[in-house]
Amino acid sequence: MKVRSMFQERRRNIIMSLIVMALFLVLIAGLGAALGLIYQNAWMGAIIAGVIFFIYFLIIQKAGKSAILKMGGAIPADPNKHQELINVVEELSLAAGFKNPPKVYVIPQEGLNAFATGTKPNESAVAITEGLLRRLNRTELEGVIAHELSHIKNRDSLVMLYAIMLSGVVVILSRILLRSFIWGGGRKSDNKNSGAGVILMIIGLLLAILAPIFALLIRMAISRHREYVADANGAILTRYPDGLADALEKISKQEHTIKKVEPSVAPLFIENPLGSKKGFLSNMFSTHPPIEERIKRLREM
Amino acid sequence: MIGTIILIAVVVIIIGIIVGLYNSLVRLKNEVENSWAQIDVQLKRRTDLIPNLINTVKGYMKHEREVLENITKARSALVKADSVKEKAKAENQLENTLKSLFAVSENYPQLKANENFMKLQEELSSTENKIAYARQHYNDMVMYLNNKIEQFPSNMVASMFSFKEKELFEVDEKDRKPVKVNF
Repeated sequence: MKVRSMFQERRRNIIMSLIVMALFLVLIAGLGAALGLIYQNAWMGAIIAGVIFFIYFLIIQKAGKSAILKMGGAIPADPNKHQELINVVEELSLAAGFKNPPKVYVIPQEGLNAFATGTKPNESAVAITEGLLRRLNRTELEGVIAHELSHIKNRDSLVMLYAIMLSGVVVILSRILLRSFIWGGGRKSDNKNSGAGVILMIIGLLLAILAPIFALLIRMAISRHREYVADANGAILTRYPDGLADALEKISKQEHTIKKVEPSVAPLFIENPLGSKKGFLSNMFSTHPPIEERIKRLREM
Repeated sequence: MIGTIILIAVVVIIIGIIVGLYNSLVRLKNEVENSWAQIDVQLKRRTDLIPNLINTVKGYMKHEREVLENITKARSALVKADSVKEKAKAENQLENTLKSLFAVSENYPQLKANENFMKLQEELSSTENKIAYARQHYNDMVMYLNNKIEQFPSNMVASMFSFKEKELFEVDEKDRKPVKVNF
């Protein structure tokens, strides 16, 4: 049963990443259309945006992983210094049934965190901060790495990679759109103005404002439930849920969060690197479930 | 007219289901074979490490000939082993003899400080974990394949194309007891 559910997770996420892409395609084409409207040609705008989307998608496929590693400030692990880490990754890759282990990276920072990224197991990477690496014992490290490998195995890392890279585009496009409204608005009023045109402009404006928020919400909705699933699947790999629970307890007691992390890569990490605040809004926009709840669920396994 | 359309539709759906089940069986069978190959790679890695270990240890452990002989014996049994069952048994014996070696090595502080020995110890214990994890994955996949072969409706497709159930990589209880060490 456990094995079957893992296959289902993967299928679910591959479908999910297709949906994410379709949603973004619609969103980006819509923004492109609104942008085109300023120049009296919505179709042209939508098509150009679609082409840009396609090119960008190809770039993500090729270079998304290394871009995210760079944003997270990760460097390749040194076999002399990090032999144990490399061994643990290789060991658990066998448990996960990967043909090749993911590439191993360390983040030279004191904050306690880790993340995984990549489109498929052979094309993926795990990264862990030096601070966390130093503070965990071997079973705790195994728990953390198993959690990250589960993200790769379930293709969470694929969905997240697309979501992060694509929401970046939406933000950029909507900024261009807003700016065009401000600068191009005057010129537009010289032309004959139909009522439908005005309504479309308002929709476009709304879209431009809503798009980044929308993109943010999609990204977060994807990631929160996935953390519980990755915790559970990680426990299936190590057959020892307390390892990860102990590690999460250490992480939850940290004072400093990671500095110099782009907010857009935050959902990738094992624990929110930007620190968590209490309250309704922070809960709704939170990329991670409360750590106490995760520890509780792991202890009950 | 409508009757034939329904008939054709039903036939197409049934063929589709059979193709789907067949493909999932093939995929699982390959996954099982691949994960078996992964165990084999790790077992071989360990049999390759053992002569190194014995050479390193020999100079220090003059009085532990029996332990070393047990390891060599278990190693050659593993090299000769062919079936899943034989390998599982030999593997387990080797694991036990290695454990007793590392237990005995506690009595030799000079050996424990030997850098070569420390490296070998980390490598052997990592290989040990790899074997355990590869075995876990193999057993999961075998269980999943065997379930499919037994369960309805995939059992019909399985018997149609004669898919065989695979053996679990299991350890007998009596093999699990640690090997006695004479001090």
